[in-house]
Amino acid sequence: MDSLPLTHEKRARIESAYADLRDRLLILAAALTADWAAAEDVVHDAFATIVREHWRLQNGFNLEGFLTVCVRNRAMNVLRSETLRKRAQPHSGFLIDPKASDPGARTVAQEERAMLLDAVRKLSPENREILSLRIWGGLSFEEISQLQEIAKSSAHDRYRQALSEVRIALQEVQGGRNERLEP
Amino acid sequence: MNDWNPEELEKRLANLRAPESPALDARIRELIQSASSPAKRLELVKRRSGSRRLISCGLIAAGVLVGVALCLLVQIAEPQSRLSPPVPIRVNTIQGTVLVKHRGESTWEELGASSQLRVGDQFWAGSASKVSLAMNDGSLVTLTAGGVLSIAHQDGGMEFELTHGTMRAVMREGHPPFAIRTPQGRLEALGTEFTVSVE
Repeated sequence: MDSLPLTHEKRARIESAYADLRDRLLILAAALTADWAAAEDVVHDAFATIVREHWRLQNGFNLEGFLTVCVRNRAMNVLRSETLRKRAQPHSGFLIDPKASDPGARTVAQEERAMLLDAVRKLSPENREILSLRIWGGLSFEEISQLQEIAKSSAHDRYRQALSEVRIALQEVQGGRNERLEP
Repeated sequence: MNDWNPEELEKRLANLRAPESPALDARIRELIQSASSPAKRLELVKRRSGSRRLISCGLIAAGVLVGVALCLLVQIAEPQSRLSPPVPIRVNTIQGTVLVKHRGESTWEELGASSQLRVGDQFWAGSASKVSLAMNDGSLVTLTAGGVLSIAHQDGGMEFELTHGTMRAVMREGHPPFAIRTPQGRLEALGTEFTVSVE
């Protein structure tokens, strides 16, 4: 079944999912891997999986949930291998925007994206995953708790804690900028 | 950017947009396209076959007879050994484009009127296409456009698997056991004419 040609309906469904979910899945993968190139590969792999296993696309199949979990699992694999590879290397920054590596050329949106994702990156891996799956993966706390094998209330508490930590990190960045602006 | 209350922060995070990536867009388009077009797959198979012939000619020209023998063993003998046993079913009529994939193979071939059918063969009828298969006793199975049908097994009778689309069976009286498997369940033919559809 895996290599049957895609029907028009399934093809349209996958194309529509890519158009609708591209940004969220890419951001989710980037938040988890801290690398845009790896994030693109992760998203590509997730879509390759559903194209290969398109027999899953029956009525009632949760394509968004499937893609989210695929992205999360692949990002975790990337992260594990990257962690081993980079263990001996110094920190080289986070999520350099591929289209605007020169800070002077960044737009406001790119600045905000870099700042927000940098704050997310400072979270513990567990909290970062919960926050990312909730916000960009669109998963419920129940789904996250099953994925992480923790209680639903723990998932909720850690999400709130993660948001709070991101907020503090952003306020620190903002405070630092204001101090530099003062004469 | 100064308002970092939790609700606003959630909203800003959720509204983040990923950078443009024409390369990723193109990769995904190609991925979907390559899975959508069996005709394109056939072309790729034919091209690969051409490359293999060219390589074989080069080897012959170089006088590497052992290499050619190995190549023949790999390319001819091995695929045949993987084939399932033939079944007493023949192609009755074909209309339009109908593809077949043999068990253990990853590529689709165009079904011909004289194709040898085997257990595990999977058929796909393209749009505006259909194929009719005839059994020894004269019973007919017709797969209509967009349908996917496999020959499941033939121990003392015949069993097909319909995974998508519609098939019609016209059975002769006294036909051997005949069953259709679908994702929803298994049907045994009791009457003489019936239609099965899988959404």
